[in-house]
Amino acid sequence: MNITLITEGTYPHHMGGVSVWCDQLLDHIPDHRFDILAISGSGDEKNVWEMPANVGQVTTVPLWAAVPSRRASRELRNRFAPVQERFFKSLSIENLGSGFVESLQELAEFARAGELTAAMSSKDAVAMLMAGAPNCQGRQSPQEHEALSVADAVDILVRLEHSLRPLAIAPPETDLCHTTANGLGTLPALAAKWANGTPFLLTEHGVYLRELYLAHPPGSTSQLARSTVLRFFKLLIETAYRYADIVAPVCRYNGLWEVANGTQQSRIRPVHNGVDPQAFPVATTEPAVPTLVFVGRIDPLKDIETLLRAFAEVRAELPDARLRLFGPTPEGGEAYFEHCVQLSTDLGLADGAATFEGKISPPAQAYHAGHVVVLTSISEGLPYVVLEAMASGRPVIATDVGGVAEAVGDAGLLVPPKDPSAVAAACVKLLSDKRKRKALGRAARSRVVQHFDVKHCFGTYLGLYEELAQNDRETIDLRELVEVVVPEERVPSYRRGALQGSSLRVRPGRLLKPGVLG
Amino acid sequence: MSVEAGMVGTTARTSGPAPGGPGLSLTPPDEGGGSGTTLLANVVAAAVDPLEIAASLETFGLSNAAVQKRFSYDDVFGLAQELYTMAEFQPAPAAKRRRVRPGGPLDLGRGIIFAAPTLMFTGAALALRSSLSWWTVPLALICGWAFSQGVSYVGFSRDSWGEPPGAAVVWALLAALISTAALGLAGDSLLGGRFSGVVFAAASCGFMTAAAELVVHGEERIIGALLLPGAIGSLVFVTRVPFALPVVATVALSAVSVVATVFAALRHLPARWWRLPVLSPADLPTAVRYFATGLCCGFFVGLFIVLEPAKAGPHSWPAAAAYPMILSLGAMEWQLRSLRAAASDASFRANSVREFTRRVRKRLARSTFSYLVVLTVMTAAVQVLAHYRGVVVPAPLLAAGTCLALAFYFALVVSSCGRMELVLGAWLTGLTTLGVWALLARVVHPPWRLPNANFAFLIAASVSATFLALAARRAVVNPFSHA
Repeated sequence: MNITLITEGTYPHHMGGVSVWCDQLLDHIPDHRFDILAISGSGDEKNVWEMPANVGQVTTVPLWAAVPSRRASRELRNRFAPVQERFFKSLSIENLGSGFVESLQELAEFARAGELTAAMSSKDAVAMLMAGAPNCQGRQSPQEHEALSVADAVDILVRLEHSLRPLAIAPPETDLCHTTANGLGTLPALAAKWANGTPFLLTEHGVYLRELYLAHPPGSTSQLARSTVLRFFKLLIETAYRYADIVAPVCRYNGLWEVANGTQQSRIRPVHNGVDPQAFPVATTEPAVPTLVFVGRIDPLKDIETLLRAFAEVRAELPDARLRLFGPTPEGGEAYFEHCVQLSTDLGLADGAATFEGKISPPAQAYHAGHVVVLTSISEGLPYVVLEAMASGRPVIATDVGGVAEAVGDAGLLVPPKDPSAVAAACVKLLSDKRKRKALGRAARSRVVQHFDVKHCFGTYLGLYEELAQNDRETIDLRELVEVVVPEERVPSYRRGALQGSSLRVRPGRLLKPGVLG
Repeated sequence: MSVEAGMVGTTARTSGPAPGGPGLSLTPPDEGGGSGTTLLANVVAAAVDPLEIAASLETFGLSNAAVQKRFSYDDVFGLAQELYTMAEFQPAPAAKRRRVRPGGPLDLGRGIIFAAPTLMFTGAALALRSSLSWWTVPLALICGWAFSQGVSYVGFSRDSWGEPPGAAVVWALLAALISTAALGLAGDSLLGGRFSGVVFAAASCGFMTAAAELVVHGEERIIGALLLPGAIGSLVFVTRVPFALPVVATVALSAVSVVATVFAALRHLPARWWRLPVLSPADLPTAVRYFATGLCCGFFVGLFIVLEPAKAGPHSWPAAAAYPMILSLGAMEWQLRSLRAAASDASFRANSVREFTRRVRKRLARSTFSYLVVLTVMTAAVQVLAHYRGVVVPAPLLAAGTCLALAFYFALVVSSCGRMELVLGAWLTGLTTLGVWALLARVVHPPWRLPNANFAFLIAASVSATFLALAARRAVVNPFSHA
């Protein structure tokens, strides 16, 4: 089987949980060939992972790479105007997403012709958007109707143009598209689905939409620009949930968000992440002084501030306690790192009590370096840190977000997010109670071996691949039927090429999906 | 403007080159972010969708289980929906936008720093005049300008991606020195000259490249300080006040400035300095455009030296016609910044493209007029000074200087709008005009007469200036130019 694995901002350019998962997937399914389609930032990113032998092509789709300055000719502007009008109309709340899929397909034609950037960066595009700005807010302001400024319109067009760049690549000709997240990575998968009927498997680690909302809080930009851009993402995400053959969240909790965005419950198949218990041997000793360990990126989503504040409270009770933070600072996160270091100083922890120690290899060393592993994230999927710490026989104190509770079960302590006192109380409790600590550590190891073994995780994925391939074969018989019953003129222009192409790659049976034929 | 469009957080890092948004609203209560309740209330009031409220509720610990237990809702989405329906919609004001700094007296200071090398090299060139051929200084200008443009583009481009901008400097310096020296040696053998001319050209080019690197790092003050020995030495040499400085001392002081500037630039070498800077495929043609534009700029300014015969003796004033432009660099920068600030402001205030266009065009006219006034004053001052020194500056050349100064001003406006291809097109049009004149000069014979070289230069500069003025008028009203 030839599988296109689509990532966004993770594998193979960055480290992190999703990248670890991708690496494990490629490693544990050696009999299938994978092509990687990586959506990246600038396009200058280097591969930081060694590619296994079953990886074929690696294609990068940079969202923010500079493009040669191209002017939109009058002809292009005229041709694009009705497409833009329909696209923004489809974003309007009143339209309930009607026409959005068709608009994406029309935009894809411009993107593939290399015309989308120029078309969306013209003065006419700004003027048209200002004249017919969509209503993307469900509620009306009591104040006078807010008007879109030129800067707002430019802001919207720039963000959307960059976001739509994955449409520029030709739909992957593959047996299966597997995306590691919802969002922009689904655009090539949707294109392949619409063009060739390619099966589409959507794995979701963090909930894309939830994290998108958190990243664009009120006031981050003008309300009109924010609502328009977020509306586009919401419709895209809903579309991906609708068209994915299987949605495989890494935890059941994510499934709640998926259902809330219109996914049929029957298509949701949670597949828990897994770790190799052999790679995380049980720690046999404990450090001399009470030590808390954090492992992860120094990132606002990890809420390091709450951890530091909690540790300051722990130190009031246990003056010789230490907090060791292992993990890199991601690109662009330097300001947050500096902020955390400053907070640590302000809290009186800079005397060596709290130390930022960067990346550590092998990671098992980090878990062995403390009595207890603490995670204070405000948003998570099913974090590897928790599973790895549990496999190492360390008790975990973690915030009850996403799928953390599913991972921890009764083998650790859960606390509410953004509550330093609750974190501190749990830390003091475990640091002071060796028996409890040992019991939780043993239970944690046993839970991982039983429920979160990596072999089980990717065995399930292998099953899903085979299931989708089987379904796909079943639809092939429909091809001839569709070619007979669908007149040529009713086949949309973006599909004609595919129909005229290799019939083996065309699964017109999928053309019967609503919305595709219009 | 925030340019994050990609996913953030646990699954992705695809944010753009200059994120400006505040990102996650995780400001702790005691740091001005308000209490958790206040933060939540802000989200509820301005949420674009009930799910946005649900996302925030979860980050404050109100997960499904907590909501069911504490508030008897079915799930967190039910609570979010109710809050969304009940709360009065109150759009949050956009975070304070990053204002573009308008021009001011500070830019005049920067102008002095940019003008200082001219002073330094004038003194050094006068001191070495017996050793320099007519082509030496133009060669230094052409190469130096080209490499400095290339280095600054690569540096600023890398900086915008948060990468060390200094990676290009060592290679640019090497390329600058080697190519200038090679061209100098070729000039020596073809046109005649001395080896000291080659050294002068290479040193000048190296200085300009290094200075560009310092500009990328915002170290104009350091450039100013390092230029002091050379500039003061040249000033004393030319004016003989308070004493007559020997040639060796003048050249030595300029050499100190050059070497110090190169060392200052090399401070910014990254750890793996030998690695060539990585540019995205689209960056490379732009870098080449900047380089080519530098070549053209150097060529046009070099023409002042070629066309104006230097008078022998200590009172000569090489390239006097170029001085109004050089002395008005600060005003040029001032007006450009003011124009950019006004255009940015207009994009936030205007509620239609037409209104935006009207405002920006008006400001362009005002800025151009202001600069023209300064340029006229400078031209008059240079003319008076030349007269006082007994130097005659040909009128067509002085007019060409004015046209070229205006062309540079418009070129700055157009390039600041990201339309470097138009700038290059304008210079190439000017060069073509000169080329046509040179061609005609070979085929036209009496009784027909062509205008002389100074007039041809004036025509070429006028053509470029007109091209750039029209381009500026068009480019500046594109709203994307100010994004």
